Amino acid sequence: MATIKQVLSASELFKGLTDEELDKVAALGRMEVYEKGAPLFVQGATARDFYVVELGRVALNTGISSGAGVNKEISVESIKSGQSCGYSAVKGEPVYALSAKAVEPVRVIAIDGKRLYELLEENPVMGYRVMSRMVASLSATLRNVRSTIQIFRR
Amino acid sequence: MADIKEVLAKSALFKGLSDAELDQVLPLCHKKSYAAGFSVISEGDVAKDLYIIAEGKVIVEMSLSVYPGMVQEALIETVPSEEPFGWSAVVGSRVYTMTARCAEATRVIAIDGEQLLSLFNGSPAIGFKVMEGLAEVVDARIKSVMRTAFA
Repeated sequence: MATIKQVLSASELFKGLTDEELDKVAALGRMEVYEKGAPLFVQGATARDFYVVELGRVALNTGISSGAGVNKEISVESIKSGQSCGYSAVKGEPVYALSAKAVEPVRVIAIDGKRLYELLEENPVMGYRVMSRMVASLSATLRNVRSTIQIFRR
Repeated sequence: MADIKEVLAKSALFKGLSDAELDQVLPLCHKKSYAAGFSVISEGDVAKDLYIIAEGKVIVEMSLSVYPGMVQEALIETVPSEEPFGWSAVVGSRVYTMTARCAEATRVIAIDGEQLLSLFNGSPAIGFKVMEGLAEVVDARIKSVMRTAFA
């Protein structure tokens, strides 16, 4: 099984960091496993951890009211191996904007968002690089949310 | 039109910068004015500039493939004063993913993306703060789009 550092070094967000930088991030991470259908986090819940997916696929979902008091969940994005989710935790947002659920058995690195933010702020070279990639990923999520909603409305 | 520095200091993107840091951004900025209905950027074009709205309002639109071969332009949202648009100039593929059209007579600050990225690489503390501001903007847009859609 890959170490936390190896998983991070292969991820979209942290690849290209120096060995020393990776060590600092890895020290904040812990390995977690989720069974198919298990939630990593729920929309509106306190945003504490940020996740890097090592194995498996995670769906980012939002709950909607489809009329007559019926609530359902629609998927806005699929997060694969090497990708990340749970950015609200890093940005100091109080709650998660979306829900994340394991579509299949999933192994992730969970990182305390507040401590990761502090690390990035203290190390601006790494901080700029990682934050820039986070924005790219968030922008992709925004596009997916917009597309999903427009299609759902039709 | 308000002073460029004053607009930047109030904007979601640059509000975290110190006075000295804002002074480093100023030489990269240009004031531009557009009439209502004018498209400032078009989806698919090379993303050269990032924009901050100084006065006025902009509507951002994206095209959607609803069915194979059937593309429709969908009205997405209105961007108010002091908010950014066109951030593909500093993030991702450097191709605009939206069209931005002026809802009324609009004045903007255009910032050269390549020069801004050079500034970030030379002064990563500035880059970190601006990207942090941009992350907040994008996150707020995600929440706003969902709130509007599912209200």
